[in-house]
Amino acid sequence: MGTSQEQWRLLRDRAQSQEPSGPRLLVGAGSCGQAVGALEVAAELRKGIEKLGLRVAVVESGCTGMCYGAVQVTLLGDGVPATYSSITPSNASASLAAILKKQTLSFSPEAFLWSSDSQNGLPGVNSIPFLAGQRRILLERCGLLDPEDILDAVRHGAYGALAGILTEGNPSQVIAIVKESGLVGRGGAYFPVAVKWEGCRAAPGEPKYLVVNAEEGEPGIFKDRHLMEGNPHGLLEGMLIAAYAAGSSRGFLFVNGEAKLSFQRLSRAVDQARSVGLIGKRILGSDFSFEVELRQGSGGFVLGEETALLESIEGRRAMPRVRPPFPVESGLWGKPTVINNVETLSNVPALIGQGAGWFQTLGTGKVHGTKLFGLSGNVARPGVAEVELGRTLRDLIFSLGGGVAGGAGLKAVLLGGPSGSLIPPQELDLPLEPGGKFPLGSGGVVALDDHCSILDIAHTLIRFNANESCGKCTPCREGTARMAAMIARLEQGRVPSTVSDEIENLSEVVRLASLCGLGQAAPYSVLSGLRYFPET
Amino acid sequence: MTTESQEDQILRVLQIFPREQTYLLPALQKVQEELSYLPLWALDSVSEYIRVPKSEVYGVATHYPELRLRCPGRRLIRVCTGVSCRVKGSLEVLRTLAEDLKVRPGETRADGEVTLEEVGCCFVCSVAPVLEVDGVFKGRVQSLSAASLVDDSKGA
Repeated sequence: MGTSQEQWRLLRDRAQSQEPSGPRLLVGAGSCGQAVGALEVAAELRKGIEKLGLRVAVVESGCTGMCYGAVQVTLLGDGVPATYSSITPSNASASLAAILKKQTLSFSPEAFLWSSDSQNGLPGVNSIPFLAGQRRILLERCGLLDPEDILDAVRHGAYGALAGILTEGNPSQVIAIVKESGLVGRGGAYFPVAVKWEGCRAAPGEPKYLVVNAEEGEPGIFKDRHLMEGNPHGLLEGMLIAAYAAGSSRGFLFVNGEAKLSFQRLSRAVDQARSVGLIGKRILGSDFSFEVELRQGSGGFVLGEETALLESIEGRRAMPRVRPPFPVESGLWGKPTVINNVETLSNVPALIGQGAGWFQTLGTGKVHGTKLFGLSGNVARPGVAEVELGRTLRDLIFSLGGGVAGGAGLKAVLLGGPSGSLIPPQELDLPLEPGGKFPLGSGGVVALDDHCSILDIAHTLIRFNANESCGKCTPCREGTARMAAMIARLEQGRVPSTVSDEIENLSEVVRLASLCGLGQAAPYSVLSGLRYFPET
Repeated sequence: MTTESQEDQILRVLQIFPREQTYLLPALQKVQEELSYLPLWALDSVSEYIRVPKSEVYGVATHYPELRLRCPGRRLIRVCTGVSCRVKGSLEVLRTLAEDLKVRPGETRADGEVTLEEVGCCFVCSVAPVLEVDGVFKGRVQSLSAASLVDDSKGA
């Protein structure tokens, strides 16, 4: 056992010395890619390579966020990586020769190099509209490294920020940096991160817990999955830094039950981190010890509510707790507990590595950093995009997303899933930031074209809220079900003239009197639908 | 070798968990993985092993949408009808599947061969519309070919 500095140097040297020598083909095999044949593409590539007698490794990677281009294949080798979209099991082996030579490919209309320059007819990254408008920090490594190899992550810079603070930092320094940066949580509530960590550190009681909320369960959002599948070590490093700052020695990584691939890749990442001394006792030879346990959910929207998550870990039904006391004072088993979202923690390594000043250059004057958004619905290029806070829905849907698929008109945008709002086209230029006119939720953006019925969408959303209501408090349990029934009557056209007023009144009760944030936000979609689309 | 009874099988798989309430959900998940659902007798076994009252075990088992108290069909087909999939035609996929498989959404066919369900979101919205066939996601599904996707993975 040496000092942290020596141990870190040994790990980095090991990562460098074991760097694969030959070219590698990374197949975008996130859950999105796998749903459209990524594993079959990988198998075809391996077959083709064997037939040609080449020494090229095929690796199942995460998704770059360009789900619309799935299945993507990326060549890593000499020089900058080259990515090819629209590879299918049937054209995979035919594309092999061109990919290995970084040449253009007729059936891959979107092929590009991850650099500003073009080469061999392959354009640079700036001519790909989906990428050119992004500021990729959290997504930087997604799709470009092997998520099942910790040494590959270390070669890309993972755990460097952690090693730095363990070598020459202390918890108060970390908290000070995060406080100065103004980082707020990315799970939907946008609460200052440093306040939680500091509160937990100061609260009496041991052990202190850190819970990673990877229970991403808001329909229309899938960005945490991209981070966990594409760069699991980025999350683990953020988690370790958070635990160090908050004085926590035990953690739970709670992953959504439907996110099986995230769970697999995180399990493997945790095992590997433990085996190289980055999780467990005396991490990298320092005084900091942290043990983590992985848990899986079994569905249920309410499980993502942080205190319901604690109830579930304790072995009960997932139902929110009354606050105060807040979890930082009395959380898991009554001990001080920090609960952070995946995207929040994935922000931490770069922030600590590059400093609060750098972080403040991102975003708007009020809120800093980037935000991940999931684009889906009737958008031409669905996927996950990372942009600075303060960009607009118009940027996301038209500049990045390529507008409405199939040339139809845009009727509305659903922002923030079932707790979100239905936004009319005339409001697309508002900056996307916490505290703005429309709540961001956790970043789900669903484009709805001319053919959609706003009533059907509002009905789907309120029915979802009613189904998923845990039943603990009356306003949400009864209110959401009644609202769903009223919308059903509107849909059937059996409407007394007062029904819209009734819905608004009931919405107010549900919004004000529900116990947790999910109940309080449940009426937004219906209210915004009634307000902006009165003709429906 | 004598065949192990299902009761013994469940008692054996529960051994990996410490007998603490925090392992109630993991224990139920494990049992469901073994039996494909949670029969009442298995809830009793979990109650005895984890040392949590039966009423509470039942409460937890009925709380989580992914836990099943009824045996699903041999094939489990789920169609996402969340907003993103809906606007990309998932209701049509659901209708076609119900007709082709001769089973109503939310039900198991009388011969126990297949269960068809709607699901609120599969969280792979970027490749909508999405089907889940025996735990495997299939994206960008066309309603015309939905039934063939189900056939393809038969026995897989």
